[in-house]
Amino acid sequence: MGPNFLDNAFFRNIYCNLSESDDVRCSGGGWLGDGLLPGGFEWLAFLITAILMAAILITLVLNASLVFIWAERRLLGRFQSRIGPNRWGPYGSLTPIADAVKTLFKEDIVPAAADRWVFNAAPVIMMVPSLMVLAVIPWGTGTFLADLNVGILFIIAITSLSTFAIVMAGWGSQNRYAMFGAMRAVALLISYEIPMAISLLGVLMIAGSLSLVSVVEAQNVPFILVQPLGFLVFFIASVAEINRAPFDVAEAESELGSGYHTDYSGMKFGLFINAEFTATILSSAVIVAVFLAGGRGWGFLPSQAWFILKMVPVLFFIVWTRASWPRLRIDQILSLAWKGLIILAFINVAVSAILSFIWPAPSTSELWLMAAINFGVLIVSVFAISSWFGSGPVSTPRMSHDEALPRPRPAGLSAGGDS
Amino acid sequence: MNGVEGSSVTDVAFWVVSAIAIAASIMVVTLRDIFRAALFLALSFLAVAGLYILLRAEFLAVVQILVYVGAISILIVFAIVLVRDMPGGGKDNHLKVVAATVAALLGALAIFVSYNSDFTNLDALESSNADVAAALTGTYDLDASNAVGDEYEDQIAVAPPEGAEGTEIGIFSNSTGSIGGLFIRDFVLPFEAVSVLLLAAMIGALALLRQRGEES
Repeated sequence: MGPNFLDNAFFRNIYCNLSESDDVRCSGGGWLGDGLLPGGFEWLAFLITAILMAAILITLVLNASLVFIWAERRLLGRFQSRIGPNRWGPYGSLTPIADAVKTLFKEDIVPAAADRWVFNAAPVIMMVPSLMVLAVIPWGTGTFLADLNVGILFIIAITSLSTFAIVMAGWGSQNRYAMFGAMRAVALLISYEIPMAISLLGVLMIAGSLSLVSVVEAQNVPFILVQPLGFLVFFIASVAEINRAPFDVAEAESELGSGYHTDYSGMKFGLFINAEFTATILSSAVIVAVFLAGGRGWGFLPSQAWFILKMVPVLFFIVWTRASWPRLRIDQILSLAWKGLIILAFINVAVSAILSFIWPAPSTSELWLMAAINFGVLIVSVFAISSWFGSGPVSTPRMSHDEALPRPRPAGLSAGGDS
Repeated sequence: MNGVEGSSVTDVAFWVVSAIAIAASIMVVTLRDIFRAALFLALSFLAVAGLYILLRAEFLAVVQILVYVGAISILIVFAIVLVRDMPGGGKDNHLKVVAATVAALLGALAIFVSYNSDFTNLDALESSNADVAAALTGTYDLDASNAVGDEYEDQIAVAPPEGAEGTEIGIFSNSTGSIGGLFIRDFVLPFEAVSVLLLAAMIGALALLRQRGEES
């Protein structure tokens, strides 16, 4: 392969120390002389380096999610005029660690009626997509695990796997609340995947590539300015995709217990929560890479620091949304996706297609011009769609008893004939 | 060249992924629990996506995950969850012998075809459809999509373009743009016809769902 991994300084250092590679970029050898492993073991060096890099990134992100949990609870406290966690550590900063220890020591309960195998696999599968997305995010210049040339599609495809985890959790629990949560989650995730994917099309047309690294390189003007409508749709859709308020109907504590993870306890529950926070961090990372010019900034800070600095306001905005919006009803959520966001996303695609037909390879000044036009389009289309959307009477679902959502009847609970 | 391509790592990955795909497929048809069978179906789709990645068809792999795992399998699982009373699947329909015969014949056909196909020979493909051949090798030129013939020959002869500077992005040859070019230039009519077909299927499903005499 043409190991693009070697463009990454950190990776190169480890790899070149381990292997007797004749790649030009290893020409100086490593710090430890030319190769600890004998020739022909390049694959082992590759494997060790890749696993090491993945382990480092995963550890960093999981720790970041601990920090984020603390920050979110403090912020929610401020938003709700209360103090928030303040007992353990300075400003309560060790609270997430105490929570983690508590979660680990709790009893692990599997309901008697549960489908054990499915029940146990669900939290694990929940973690997988969030961690896999890690691989393609360009954390800074040359700091990425893999520069897939289908990076953005990869993210959309992989995150759709979390739907499986939720259905498995709901079905495996053999619990009606869990099943309801899972069914809502599936409806929500399938609906919001569509505007999410379409909203990125405008970005792709301007950047001319699906690779996240190229998308970052194309942003002489951050795409949040060039593609404001795309950003709006993508932001809403990704908040919905990670199941956070105001779109958290899947676990709606006040109606469903806690939805699909009602029956989970101990660290399995911890994995669900952790996956949610990891997904939040990673979706903010995707937003930074795609819309906020990734690690690009001014010279006095390394690009990785810029990336993380840009993630902070995005995460704050997500928490702010959670604190200031009530939970939407499931039918409102779905009609927002199908009647609002998808139309907005298609308007964005049409305008971007015309603009990128006029300027196939936009220069910086042309990008600013695009930004001005797109802001006009944003204002007009959002006003048009929202006035159309809100023109009718407030709809309440007309459901007689027979038309109501089908009740789940898991096999273990059903006692013979149907009603 | 250093690294992984063509080395034992890809071989090992191929055998592991194939074993997963086959094992999952066997589970799909043997398990009595239909929910788990659907989960194994998704796993086998995933493993097939892994095979596509090993074949350097990364776009196909991602679309496989997006469409088959993320959409079709989810719909199957959803249908199983909604259809309530199906403990352990349907009844035996006494067609075991017929089913086994058909399966064996189809399997034999697949083995026969794959033994008698020359997968390394891109020239044959080039003579029948140069654009597809070029797309497969990542050398499809968008600007010259109508000019087929001699100019592709040297590019195809060295397929896949291994390690040459600028021909590869990442670990994959860059075939995404080529596929896109084929979709909306050369094969735009079938591409659009398929979407009309899907729309018709959707409207048909809705028409079947709607109860007779119901207005809204």
